Amino acid sequence: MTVMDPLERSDEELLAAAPAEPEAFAVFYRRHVRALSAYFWRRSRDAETTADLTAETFAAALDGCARFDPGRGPAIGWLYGIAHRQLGTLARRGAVEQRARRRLGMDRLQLDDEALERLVADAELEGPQARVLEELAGLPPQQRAAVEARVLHELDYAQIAVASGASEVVVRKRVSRGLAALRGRLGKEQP
Amino acid sequence: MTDFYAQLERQLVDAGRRRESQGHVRRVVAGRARLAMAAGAAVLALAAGGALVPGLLSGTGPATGGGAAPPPAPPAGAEPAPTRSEPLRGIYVAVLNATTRGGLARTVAELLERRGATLGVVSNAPDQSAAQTVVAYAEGMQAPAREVAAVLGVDEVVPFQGPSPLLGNARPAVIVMVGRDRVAP
Repeated sequence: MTVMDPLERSDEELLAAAPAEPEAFAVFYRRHVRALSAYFWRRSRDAETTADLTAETFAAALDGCARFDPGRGPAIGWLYGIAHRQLGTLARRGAVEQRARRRLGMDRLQLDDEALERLVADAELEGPQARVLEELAGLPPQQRAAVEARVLHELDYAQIAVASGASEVVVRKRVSRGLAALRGRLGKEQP
Repeated sequence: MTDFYAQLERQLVDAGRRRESQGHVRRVVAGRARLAMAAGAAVLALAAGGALVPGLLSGTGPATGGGAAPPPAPPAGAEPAPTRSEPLRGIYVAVLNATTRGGLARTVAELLERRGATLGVVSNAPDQSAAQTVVAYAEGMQAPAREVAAVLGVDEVVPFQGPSPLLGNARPAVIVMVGRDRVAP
């Protein structure tokens, strides 16, 4: 039997394993926590709110990971979907949701000034890269997959066409439209 | 300890352990979890209703075999374990020839079968101009795809953006698109 290194598992595999294997969720958490904090920092510009939103989002993710369905999209899109809903709740109620943390018996973290400063510094460092990943996660699935294959995996169009079961022309269009959408999204809403 | 990330991680892991020990892990969940974990063990994992459906290639070009009917899906809890000589045991693989060289998919398919893979569709890819062999994986099947890639000497695996009409209702875990790099000189 092959022993799987958790670090080599995909996000989707980690979430599938997480209900029975807390360490799998920890690996998923470590992969995304900094980018997610940066996402919240850009929107709230408040360190405590950033920490609260990050904690609640991951608590909700842990609470709901058994319901994650990879057939409906990638794990990162699912995570940012939760994050987006947390922001919506904050906007409506003026306070960060605590329901998932309560359900899991997680106390609100009390952070000293040093911890908050470090959180902000990390979020600032993480900013640009996190923003690209976050916007990439928001693309339609086929565009996202095509852009990832072309830019991250550096496959040529013919290879992507074969892998995607689409024609090369279609793949080129997906990459082109995906990149254009990314440029548009990254060009506006500067923090 | 003042590090936010570490504190939060500890809280989450503790919470996860509490839930696990309190029996929050339902069997229905275990099915999905097992699917992905089994991938790591190179265990066959098909999508729901994952009948092994070969020969769905009518009208999609000359199939180079489609293969003999694959064995029925093993009952839960009786998944075959990979062995040293058959590291691909239990992995359901489709092989598509992405070149114009006839018989290439069959050759690769036979190699994979000798290493334990269960063959699904073996046919021609829609695009037959691939220079390099690509190993693609269905959602969550990255680990078995890596096993297949290792056998073929392919460095990277990529997500498969199906569905492909070529595969019909078959849900292979791994799809190999054979490129010209597999043509013997």
